[in-house]
Amino acid sequence: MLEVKNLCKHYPKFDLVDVSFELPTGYIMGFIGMNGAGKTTTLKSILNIVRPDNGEVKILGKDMSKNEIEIKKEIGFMFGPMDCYSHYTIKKVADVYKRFFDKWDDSLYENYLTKFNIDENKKISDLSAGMKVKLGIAFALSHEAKLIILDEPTSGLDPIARDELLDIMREVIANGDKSILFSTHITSDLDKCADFIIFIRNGKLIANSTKDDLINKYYVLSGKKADLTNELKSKLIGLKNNEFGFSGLIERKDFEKDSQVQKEKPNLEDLMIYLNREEDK
Amino acid sequence: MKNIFYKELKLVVPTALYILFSLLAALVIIPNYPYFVAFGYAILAIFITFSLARDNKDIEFTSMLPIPRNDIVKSKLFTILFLEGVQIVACIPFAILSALVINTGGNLVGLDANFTLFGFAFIEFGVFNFIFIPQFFKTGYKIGISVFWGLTGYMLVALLLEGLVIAIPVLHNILDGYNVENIGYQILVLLVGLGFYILSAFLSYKRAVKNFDKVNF
Repeated sequence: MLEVKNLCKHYPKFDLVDVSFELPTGYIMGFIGMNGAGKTTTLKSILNIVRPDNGEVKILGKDMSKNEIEIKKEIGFMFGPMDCYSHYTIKKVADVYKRFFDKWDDSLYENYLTKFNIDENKKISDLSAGMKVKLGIAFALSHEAKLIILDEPTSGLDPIARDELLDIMREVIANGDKSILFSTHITSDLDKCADFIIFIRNGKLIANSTKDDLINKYYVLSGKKADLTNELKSKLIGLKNNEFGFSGLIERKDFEKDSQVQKEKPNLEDLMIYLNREEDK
Repeated sequence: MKNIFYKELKLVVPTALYILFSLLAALVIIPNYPYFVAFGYAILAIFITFSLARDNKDIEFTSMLPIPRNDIVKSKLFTILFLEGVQIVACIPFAILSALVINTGGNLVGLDANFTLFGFAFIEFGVFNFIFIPQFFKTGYKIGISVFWGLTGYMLVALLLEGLVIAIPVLHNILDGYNVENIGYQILVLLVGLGFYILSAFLSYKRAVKNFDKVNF
């Protein structure tokens, strides 16, 4: 569905370096990273909104640089809350927006509005931040797009709305002919629904695999100071020392089975925190 | 292409604004007045329209649409030509009124409301567009400075053209006034002005596309 190869973009104070990944059809990929790590730049470079300096993007098997318009009609994307033309009604903006998509489905769009409890006669400025996000999602999902790219779709949403959105995402890919790529820093969203994870830090991908492989690759260790041998120290990722002891991530292959140190299966938040600390060193 | 122009008219160009400014075309009936000012209100309309569009995140919205980037430039060119066109058309009835009824004796501080005036207006707008459009598309958001330089160009050319007509007796005789004998020369100026305007729009578009291609949102 989506193939990204060696995507690079240079800015005076930031570089996106050789970002490569693949998202197969029928899956959800979560894109995590701290604020400013390069998530939005990557997504915008994929869509040629930011002009990449180098790299190749293929969507539905077609080269993005040669078939941009044709491909963009097959993509639904949302960058942050829908807050354009805030003094106009939703109806007016939607009436313009939908004209650009041959496969726009009015009934699907109306379903999303009903689901999200959005009154299309309201002005966009009258919507709360969360409602603006929902409106952006309704716009992105209403033209039968094959690839859906959402930038931080869950930020600003309350837990119930977030859960609702994750359900919608699962519904969208249920047919098996669509894929979703979405960025977030709320990792619990991905615990619930992502099949693949890519993790970006300072413009470089530091993890790219299925969620299960990523989680099953590591343990989180925590123990007393006395347990922290030099050998263990050298294997720990993102070591944290505190008054009582230490904690850190370790690759399962490096973990000695007879060790007394307490081990736990990490969640994505643990991975993000410890991998990030390691890179900071 | 139709859709992108529809978008401009529905979401970008405020109807009340250009109706209001086009009423200022009535300045052409004031006795002894520099009539090029009446056309210049289109530039104020452009400035306000572009500022509102920036506040409305228009370019961000447009960049989300499945259109080539050049179409964003085309849509803005359309808006500019539309606003200028409205102003020029709005000046026509007032110019007729001025020439045939109110100011038949002529204008002491500038050109009379004749074909030359319209030809010059096209040239002045052409100069404005040639400066403003490529300059604006270097960033997609710096409107003030782009309008400033565009308006400076507009004013300088207006003063230069009218100055030449006043200063050079031959030009004054044939290009100013309502003498029917000279109408051919005046229509020629109108056609040259229109040609210049079209050429300028084309070249401005080319340069703007080149500049905008380097912009990241």
